[in-house]
Amino acid sequence: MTALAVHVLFFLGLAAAIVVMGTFYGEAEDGPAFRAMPRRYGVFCLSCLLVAGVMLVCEHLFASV
Amino acid sequence: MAERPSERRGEPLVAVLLSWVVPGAGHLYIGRPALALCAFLCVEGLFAAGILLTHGRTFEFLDPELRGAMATALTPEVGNLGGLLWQLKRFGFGADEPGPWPPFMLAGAWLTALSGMLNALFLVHVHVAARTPRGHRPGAPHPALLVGLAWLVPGLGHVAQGRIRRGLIVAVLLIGCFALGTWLAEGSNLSRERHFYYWSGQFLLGLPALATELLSGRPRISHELAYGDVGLLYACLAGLLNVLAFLDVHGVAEKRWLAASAAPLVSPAPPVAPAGEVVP
Repeated sequence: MTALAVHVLFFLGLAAAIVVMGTFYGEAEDGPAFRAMPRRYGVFCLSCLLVAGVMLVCEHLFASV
Repeated sequence: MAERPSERRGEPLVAVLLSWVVPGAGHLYIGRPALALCAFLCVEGLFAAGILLTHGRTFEFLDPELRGAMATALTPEVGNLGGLLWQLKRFGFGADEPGPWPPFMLAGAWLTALSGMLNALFLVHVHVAARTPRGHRPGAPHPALLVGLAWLVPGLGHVAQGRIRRGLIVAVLLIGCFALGTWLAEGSNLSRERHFYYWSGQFLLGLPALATELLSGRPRISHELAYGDVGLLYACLAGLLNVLAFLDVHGVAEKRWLAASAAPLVSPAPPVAPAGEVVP
């Protein structure tokens, strides 16, 4: 369980870096960029959660060992 | 304001493709022979020095199962396509029997990678220069220079543009990711021989990656790394995310540069006073 929590923390850290740099690329002005970050971070994390969920379901259905 | 095609020195895409294959050829095409010669000598000089030091064996770092026609497409050397293709044709992936590396193998591999990066900056330069009208008076730093600074130290391109807060955030974020990754991987990420593609990613972080590699002394790893893969990912992604910083810097710099091009070359006419008034 601890290992899972550590990996989730690593993921959240890297996701933050990806979202910040992606937002800076998308918004040339600082103000709109900072305002957009929380929403983008949430969307990114939820999307990744969705993908992880689909992969787990596929693994369980088609590739269980 | 966008430039009119008639004001161009040449077709930007043609100039870029020419320079990609032969460094400087694009500058020659747009009528900048001195810069063409400078680009050729600098890029091919670095490349030749790298080949001399490595004996052309850089791609022997690749695992045998990864060697193939497109295996080198994700290396910094791809910025100097002509050199890369020549190296592949002349040396390939080396002999079947691996031998000891030359004494300055790593320094040589850095030089060939640098030649690719330098040519990529010349590509940025020629793409903008081809669209810059003749008689242009620079009113802003050239985009290629700023992208070069952004590569050298993450965030420096933003700072040079006057976007200091953004530059500091980029620097702290990317150098922090790289440092955390290197710590987690216990320095194992700093070897091109060990992690060929991850190294190519972190090469895009510029000086921090080079300095850390130089100072690390190539640590030996004799135990299982608990988070080695996570460290590799953090360090490599720090370099890859710096590409977004390049693009951000380039987008703003190009807009400012071309806006300066579109500005009138003569000062505006003085105001005309209505009849009976005196203009001070």
